[in-house]
Amino acid sequence: MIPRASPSDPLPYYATRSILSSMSQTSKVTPEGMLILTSLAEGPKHGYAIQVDIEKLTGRHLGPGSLYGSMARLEANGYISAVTTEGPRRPYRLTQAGARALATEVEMSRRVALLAMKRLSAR
Amino acid sequence: MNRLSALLGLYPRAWRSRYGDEIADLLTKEPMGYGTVVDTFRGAVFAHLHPELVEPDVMAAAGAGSLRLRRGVPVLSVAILGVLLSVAGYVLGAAIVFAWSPSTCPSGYDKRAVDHSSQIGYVEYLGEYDCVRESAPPTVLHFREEREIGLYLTRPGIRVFDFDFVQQRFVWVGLAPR
Repeated sequence: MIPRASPSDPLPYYATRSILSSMSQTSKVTPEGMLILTSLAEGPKHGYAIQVDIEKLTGRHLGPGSLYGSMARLEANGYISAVTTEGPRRPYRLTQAGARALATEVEMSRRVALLAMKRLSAR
Repeated sequence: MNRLSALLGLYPRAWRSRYGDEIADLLTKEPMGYGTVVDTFRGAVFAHLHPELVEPDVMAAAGAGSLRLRRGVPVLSVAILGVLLSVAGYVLGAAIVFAWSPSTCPSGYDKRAVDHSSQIGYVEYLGEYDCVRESAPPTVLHFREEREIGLYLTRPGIRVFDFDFVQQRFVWVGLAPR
């Protein structure tokens, strides 16, 4: 059985990362940042919840070093912000700027995906 | 000093102050293997190279085109420190994993290098676990935190592949359950 993208059968990580990487060449959002923004689009989450969500989505386990490196960059850019300031499980939320950045990236992804499907079907 | 404190100690003070509790919270849930150690080292190197992400005054200085990040520390020194930390991280990580590997295998298993790309199948990211049962079907592996998936004994969160003889290619079986 070949893996397919569906809620019960997530898209393999390297396929997801390849798509997101090509999408992120012109933006400040890294592929890992895109995954974090996508996770937070559902609602505020703390680091561990984001980690679990990304693993469900892509099948890849994002370690603490990679996760917080990306989150620090997103927070410095104003794309995410901490809901509270204390404790080891500090929830983060998507800001308006983060939502705009995610929407821009998603739209770019959609255009490229449509073009790719069109060209593949013509082969 | 325990392993957690040692890993967190690699981060700059400002990063520890801002994200230390949260990183520690995740580290307590991670299997402390080679991947975790290397990932944390990489994160620490990134933190040393980007103090501006947690210190607004440094961000302002960097934005103004300053070649010095903080208290007269030149960018080149920080970059060299990052490279040295990265190399040290790989060496120390390998040493830690080697030291923590089981010195003897369970009864019925032999300790040896495993061919992770055999024709039967392979399990990703498992180079440090190498107890093989010779008499069993090929590539039955034993790990310290066991979960059985078909022929494979693996640990939680690891991606498992199998060889599909109909399609003549490797297919992703899935993640070992947590």
